Amino acid sequence: MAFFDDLIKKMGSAFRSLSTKASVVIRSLRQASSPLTDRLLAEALRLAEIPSPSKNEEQRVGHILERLSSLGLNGYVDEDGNVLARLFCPEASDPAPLLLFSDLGTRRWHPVLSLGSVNADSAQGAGLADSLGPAALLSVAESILSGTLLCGKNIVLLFGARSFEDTQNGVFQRIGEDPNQRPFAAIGIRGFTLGVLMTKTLGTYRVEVKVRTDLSDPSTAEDFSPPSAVDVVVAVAQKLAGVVWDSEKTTHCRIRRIEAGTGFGHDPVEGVLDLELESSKDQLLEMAMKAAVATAQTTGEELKAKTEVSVVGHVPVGDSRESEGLQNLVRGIMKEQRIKVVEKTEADSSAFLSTQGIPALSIGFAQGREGLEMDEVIIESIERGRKLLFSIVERLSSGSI
Amino acid sequence: MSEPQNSLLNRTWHHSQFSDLGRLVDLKVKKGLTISLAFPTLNEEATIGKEILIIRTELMDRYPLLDEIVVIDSSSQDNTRRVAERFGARVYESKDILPNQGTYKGKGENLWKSLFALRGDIIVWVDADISNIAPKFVYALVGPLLENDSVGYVKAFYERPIRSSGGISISGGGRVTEILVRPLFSLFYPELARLIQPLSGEYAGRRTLLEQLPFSVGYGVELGHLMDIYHTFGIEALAQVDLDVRIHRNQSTEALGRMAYGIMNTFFERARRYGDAEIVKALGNRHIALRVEGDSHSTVETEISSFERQPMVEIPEYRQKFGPGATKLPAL
Repeated sequence: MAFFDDLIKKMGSAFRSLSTKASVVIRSLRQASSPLTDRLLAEALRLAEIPSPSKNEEQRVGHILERLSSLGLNGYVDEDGNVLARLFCPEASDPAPLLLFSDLGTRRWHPVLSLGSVNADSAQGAGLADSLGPAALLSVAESILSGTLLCGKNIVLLFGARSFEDTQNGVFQRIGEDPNQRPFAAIGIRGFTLGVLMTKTLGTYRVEVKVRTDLSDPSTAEDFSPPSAVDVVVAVAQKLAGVVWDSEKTTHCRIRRIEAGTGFGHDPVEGVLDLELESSKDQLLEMAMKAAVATAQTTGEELKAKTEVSVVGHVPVGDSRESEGLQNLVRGIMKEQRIKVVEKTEADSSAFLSTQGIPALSIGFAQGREGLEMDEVIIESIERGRKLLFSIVERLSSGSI
Repeated sequence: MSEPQNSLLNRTWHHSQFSDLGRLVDLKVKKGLTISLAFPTLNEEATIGKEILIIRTELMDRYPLLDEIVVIDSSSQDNTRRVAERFGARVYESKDILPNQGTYKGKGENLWKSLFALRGDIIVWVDADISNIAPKFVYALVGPLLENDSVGYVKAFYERPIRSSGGISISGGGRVTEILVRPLFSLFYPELARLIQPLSGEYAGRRTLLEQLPFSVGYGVELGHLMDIYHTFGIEALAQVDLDVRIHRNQSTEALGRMAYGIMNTFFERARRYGDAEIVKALGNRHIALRVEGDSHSTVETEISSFERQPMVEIPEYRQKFGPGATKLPAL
């Protein structure tokens, strides 16, 4: 028995030793620099430093145009400020292009915290995740032009200067209606999270409620103590949080942000509340939006606050049946590349295209953590995201959905 | 003001003048030059990775302007060396270079030793604490050297907003320059007073010039270079480039005081050597700061090395490696 005990101990020790060595090797492989990934990360870090949001993201647009120009591509700025660039493939038999799109701005830029940093494993910076998408588009362009990425179809890159959800941004409508631009398929790229696949898209309305109270208004009666901005936004939130408009519970209201007051010792006189209404049915979504807007307006007025309610974003429900083939292709590639697929139902700007009969979906590009102030991006996951995107482009351009 | 005194202002350019990287690479190839970049470091893990990543991807991978990126580290206690290697720099500990020559603490020591470790004909030095690093920090320093054979040494200048937790303030940088160095230059060397930021930590030079300069191991290295180049090669060898904005850590007034002490020490030593000033008594050998403790004051005395490294060209190992009879250096 002692012999077997000894043997088991030795085998265990040898296995542990091998396992430790293997993990060191795997770790070093994961940390090995890939030129394309390093370029993509460098691009994202530089883009993240540029102030945003701003009117039509002019500084970021300038940077993208300069980058495209250095690759020998002419970027075209459309009437909403979006940048479009077309990569022509000489072998393309079908003029319809593949559209790759990403939002150029971020709502989380910070003058200090967006000056990102990197350590051996991760990159950090405010709004950094949001600049991965545009950096990925530039990487695709550079790789196609250098022959690293083979592509048999024309490709159009779209860098959104205004948020795609912005009701004033009509870029997808124009693309869908223009026979020279209408794509045969479209892929949106978002920073987080690699592996997430939007199998069904919800429609959404984004509503901003701004309140202002005047706590020192001399016209108010002595026995009336006016509520603070905090009280008003909380009252609106309490009325709308978690409200469901249908029995299937697919039409609901979410509170996405509450901000009011300036902290201890100060009268909270201004506040803002961001609401998101989601539904899988367009008509119900429309009804819910009108109800929420009216409720917010009435609640604010009842509490004697100046209340401004505006719809700041809208995404249609989308037609997921149009994108089933594309979803299957992407799901298959993720499985081949051992990326864990997480199917989700959320609002996604690809719906603007699927409603026009264009197969479209969005993919997450990297893994990490999106923080209130700082994002942390796992560097190794950028390489996996890049491989996924390049495979999707190659497969789609070889004509298989 | 006479024209010659302003000659440096005629060699003052904006970085955008050198942004055509393809043209710079062509010039470099045409002239058969190699270019090295070195970062002197001491506990810079927070910024060194991004600096190397951004410079390498743009100026080595995309445009082969640089032939090597090297980190010369003063035995950092943090992950500086690991991070630098991860992003593709060759990393040396300063003490391991020319071990027979001993080792001293200070940035100047790292720069001096980097002359032995680097292989390029043009050498660029960039501080490792820049938060808003961009390729212009390197190519704009190299550009004038590639375009003008008469220029031997290029200094950077920029706005220096200070980074703090509350944000970025747009003034406050360059205090030692404006309070100490520019007045000294105005008194002794008015031509050098045209240098917008004589103490900037980013500069590039030709090896043939740099190897002939003595290096102060500590704070005085930049000022010493300028005075030596001015006397040995003339003002025409100097140029300066506007890099717009550099965001970096703020330094305490106490730290700036020690820096000013080191710089003044170098200044007077050089002025005496060149016969421009006479020191009639032995100078103090310690920086003295005052600390308030309740109602009383105490002194904090700091020894700041004024040691100077001899010109690298005088070091036998260097002559063997780079001198006229040296075997051709391996390709980078």
